[in-house]
Amino acid sequence: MSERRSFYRKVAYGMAIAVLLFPLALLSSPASINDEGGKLARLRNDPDHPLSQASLGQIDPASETMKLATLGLRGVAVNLLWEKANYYKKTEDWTNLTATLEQLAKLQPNFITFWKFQAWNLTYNVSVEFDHFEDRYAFVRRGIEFLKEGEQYNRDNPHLLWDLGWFIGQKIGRADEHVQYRRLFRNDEDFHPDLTPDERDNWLVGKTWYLAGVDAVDNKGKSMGRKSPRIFYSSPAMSQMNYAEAIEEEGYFDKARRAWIKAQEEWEDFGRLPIEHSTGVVLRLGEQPKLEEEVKQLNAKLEATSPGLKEELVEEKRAKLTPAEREALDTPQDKRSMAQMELAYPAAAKLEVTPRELAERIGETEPAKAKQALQLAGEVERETLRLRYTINYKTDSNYDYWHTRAKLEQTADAIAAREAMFRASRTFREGDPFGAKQLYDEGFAKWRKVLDAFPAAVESESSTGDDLIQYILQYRNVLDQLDEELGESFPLWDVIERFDSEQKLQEELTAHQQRISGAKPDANPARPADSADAPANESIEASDANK
Amino acid sequence: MVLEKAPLDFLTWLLGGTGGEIGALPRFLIIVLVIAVLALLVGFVIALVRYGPMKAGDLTYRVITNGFSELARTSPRRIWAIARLAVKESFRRRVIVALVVFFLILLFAGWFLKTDYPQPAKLLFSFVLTATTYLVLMIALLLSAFSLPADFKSKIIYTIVTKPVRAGDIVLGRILGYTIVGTILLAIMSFFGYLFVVRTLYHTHEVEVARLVEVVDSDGNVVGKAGRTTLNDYHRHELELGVDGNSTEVQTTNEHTHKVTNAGTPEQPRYVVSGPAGFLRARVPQYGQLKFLDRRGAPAPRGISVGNEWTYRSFIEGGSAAAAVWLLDGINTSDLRTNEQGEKYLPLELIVRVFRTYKGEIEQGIQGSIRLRNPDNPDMKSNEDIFTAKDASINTFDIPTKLYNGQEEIDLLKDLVTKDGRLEVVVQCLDNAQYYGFAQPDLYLRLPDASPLWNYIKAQIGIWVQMVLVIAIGVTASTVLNGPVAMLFTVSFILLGFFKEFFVNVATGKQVGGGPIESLVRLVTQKNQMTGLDDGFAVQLMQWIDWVLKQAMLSLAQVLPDFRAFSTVDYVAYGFNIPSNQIAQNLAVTAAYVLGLCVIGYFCLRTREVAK
Repeated sequence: MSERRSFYRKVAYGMAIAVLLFPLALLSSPASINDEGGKLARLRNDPDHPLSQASLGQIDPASETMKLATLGLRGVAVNLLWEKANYYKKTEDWTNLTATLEQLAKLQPNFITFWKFQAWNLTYNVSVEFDHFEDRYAFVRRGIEFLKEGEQYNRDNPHLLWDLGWFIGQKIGRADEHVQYRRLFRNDEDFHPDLTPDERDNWLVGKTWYLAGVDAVDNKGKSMGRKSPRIFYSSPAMSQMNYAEAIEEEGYFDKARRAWIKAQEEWEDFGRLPIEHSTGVVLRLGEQPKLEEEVKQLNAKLEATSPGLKEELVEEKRAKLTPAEREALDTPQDKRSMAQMELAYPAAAKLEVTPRELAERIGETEPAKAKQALQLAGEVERETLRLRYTINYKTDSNYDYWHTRAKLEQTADAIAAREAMFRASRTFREGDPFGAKQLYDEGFAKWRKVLDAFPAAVESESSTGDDLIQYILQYRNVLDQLDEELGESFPLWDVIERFDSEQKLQEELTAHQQRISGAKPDANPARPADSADAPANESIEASDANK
Repeated sequence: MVLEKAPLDFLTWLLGGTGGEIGALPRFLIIVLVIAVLALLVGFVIALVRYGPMKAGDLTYRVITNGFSELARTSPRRIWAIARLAVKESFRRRVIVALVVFFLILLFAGWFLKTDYPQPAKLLFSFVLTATTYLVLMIALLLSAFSLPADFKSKIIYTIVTKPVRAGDIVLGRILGYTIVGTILLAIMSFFGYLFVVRTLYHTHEVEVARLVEVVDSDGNVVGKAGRTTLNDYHRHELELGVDGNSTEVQTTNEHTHKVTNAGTPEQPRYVVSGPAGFLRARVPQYGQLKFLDRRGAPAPRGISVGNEWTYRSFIEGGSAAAAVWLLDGINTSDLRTNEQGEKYLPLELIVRVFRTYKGEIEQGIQGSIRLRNPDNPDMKSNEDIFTAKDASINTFDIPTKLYNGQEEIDLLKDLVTKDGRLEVVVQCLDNAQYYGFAQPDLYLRLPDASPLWNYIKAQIGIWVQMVLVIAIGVTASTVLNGPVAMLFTVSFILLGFFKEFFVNVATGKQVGGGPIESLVRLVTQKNQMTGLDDGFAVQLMQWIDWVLKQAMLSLAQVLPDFRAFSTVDYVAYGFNIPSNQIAQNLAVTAAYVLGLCVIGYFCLRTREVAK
């Protein structure tokens, strides 16, 4: 009898569980595009009561159910699904691939690498498998949405936020199909219904995600992990520059000017931002001039502690050099033989007096000043190191170039030059090479003015130089049609010499160099890459003299 | 649809013929013979050891004659009685739980299955059919493996055997009974599964009236409106409406379209968008034989590889003489269809995979050409039809019957199709240094669609076949083994059946990593599959053991059912009709297994003291 009662009890429990599952299904059903889901889904998205995983732990019912359903074999299930995902990718079964990724996402919603890896897979690897650019865009977008879903599960995760900025900015803005992608993105009101078409620029949308990442680190105490702070913090401002560059390319010059002004401000803000170097030293990239001044003053102060001592030390060191080394150093630089050149550099290094050496000598000669001198030497060393790190970081992020670029692009001359290039290209496409040539000539003259005002813009590796080479190549096409050549009056020979890395203008350059040196044509003209050193400098001077 | 192995014609499959392949029936007979002889030998040897040669011979003879006479006297009435008993027992054992589980799965499935994929129907059908398969197989397994052992344990079997039933009746009756139970469950599951798919896919849109713009013709007359629908179920459709407000065209998105009708007046329209159409299909393709021509126009076994890991398709180079040539067979007037203008045409469909070696014009597709040719007279061919390939989706060609060869007018059936109904279709890529990729099933003649519902039912037959097999194996195993062991035995059979290809590859040495023992050694010693093994006695011994095991595996593989081959889920998921001969093959295989297993089950049950 009791056995039967216990059986009935079990049946009752089972029934109760089954019955309760129905309201649970209704309460917990996730939100979809057509309805806002069950009570829990609505609470999750309620801004006043954010029930996200990050704030309240794992509460996505779908994810939980799936994890429970694996009966503790989540690892095995995940492994199988990853295998399946790989298989579907191999066999080009995109529907099943995306469905498998969704299932994986439910099983490991807080595994950041999963989101990053698979979103990359969709956006970069799967999208290119399609031939039609709209299909490609659909998968780029799907990858981005996938990453956004990851962000929902892992709110305020700086890595996912940064990646969102990167995917939206770089994949849409830098792909071969960027013209089409940007157009589709701008018209994609289903993707961002709350934004106006102007705001739907991929670089601006990307920037908002970067800024959300910065906000998560700065104000919400999230860690950026091993991501370089230099790249992390510069991304929003770089995105602004990319935006300015992109709309300029599309012919919106007024808007571009405002964008460049904003980019300069943001870049300078970035320069003022404290950034932690990998050694723990805190730097500000915009502080280089201030640091240089400080180091100079501290050095002067140290030397002033015992005037003339530094020179004495130098003399002592000089006395220890070999006669050959001394001779090499005394010979003017341009008259040194090869052997002397080899000797001179290490010899000059031997003459260097470090602040610590100077401080120690002060301590020996004037013990009363020893402590002060050592303290000063320590400060000099510290500040010099900070200066060196700052310069390194600036070089790595090409800080000065972008700063110059932002300032340059907003000038009236630069805007006019860009506009002339844009119009010239369009005029040429419309079949008017004469009009195009005139516009190019005007534009290049403006560019000359711009470069004279901002020589730093083409001093080292720069995309301005590369842009100009592209313009010059287009100009040459125009000239070809008119049966003309790049003449001596062309104002940007120096740019060709420095930036024609693919040697597409090699013939013109060789002819130009021969013209200015008055030499006969060379059967084996020097490669411009070789001419990067001395000959190039000479020709720059020559072309300057030409102007 | 990816169809790596095309199903053979039923008679060819049954009797063999093409390429020296032995047919299914002769193979079955050989296996039966071998097993029968082996069983007799083993039985005789055992009896020999126990009772001496004379009695052994006598026993063996009696077993055979009794066996055959009993099998011949199998009574449908008794089988039916046992079957009814099995059905009652099953319901008493609460098989209905499986249905509850199935409904719970459907209830929660919506959480994991969105409909925002390019082929939502494919995913839903795969899911429903797979869930049904696993559940039904599990129920079949539990029912069949535990019933007889439970009867032995509870001594019910004694009551049964006191009645005039034979061992064969018991085995067959059980199989039949459980099959009836499984069929009822399967029918309920498939009904609700279908409802689930249709219900999940159902959606409608509204027309965004504010965005409608008037379409004018060259004379400035308004000929309709163009616009789009609202966003529902993660997508929207572009549409064109006629002057009366009814849709003239609604763009196909995610493999379906809708119809828009104007329920108001032309002046004050009220647009009604219908439910989705086109999700559920059962295309009936008639495939051909594919051969390739290389870039110089010489026949080649395959196209070239563009470096894909998946070698299903191979590629032809654009701007060269390379071509993919399909030979279609059996073309006649009945294959032609009539369009709205009353003209007859031959409906061809082609799936092209495009591979670009350079981006070229991004917004332009890669161009190709298709032409028809008489296989007996290659000079008799139609002019090239130039098309821009829609990559990885179906390109449709309605080939008119009136064609041109240069300036000369030719007739499709008279001039291009041979008397015995053969026709060649030649596809080339036209853009230089760009490629088209093809596999054999990528071009087919599209016959009129079959009923999607009937196709779904055919897929359920595929599941049913697997269920019957599991029941037959389970019941047979349970005649000699106790419940859990019989279940394990059946599970191993199912598992091996699902991974038959891998199993055979291990047995034949095609799978890298060696036989079972070698694999175990590699696992334990953490040696990868490619690392060589030392030459020593131990390794040699291991390889000998592996050789013996591999022979055993090969023999086992001969009788192992290939469960994957029974599954026709992909056909339904991709919207293709399941060929009838495949269903016929599956049914024939099942019948053969059931027959064989019944006989084995009968003899096994006879060895139990109770059933003598």
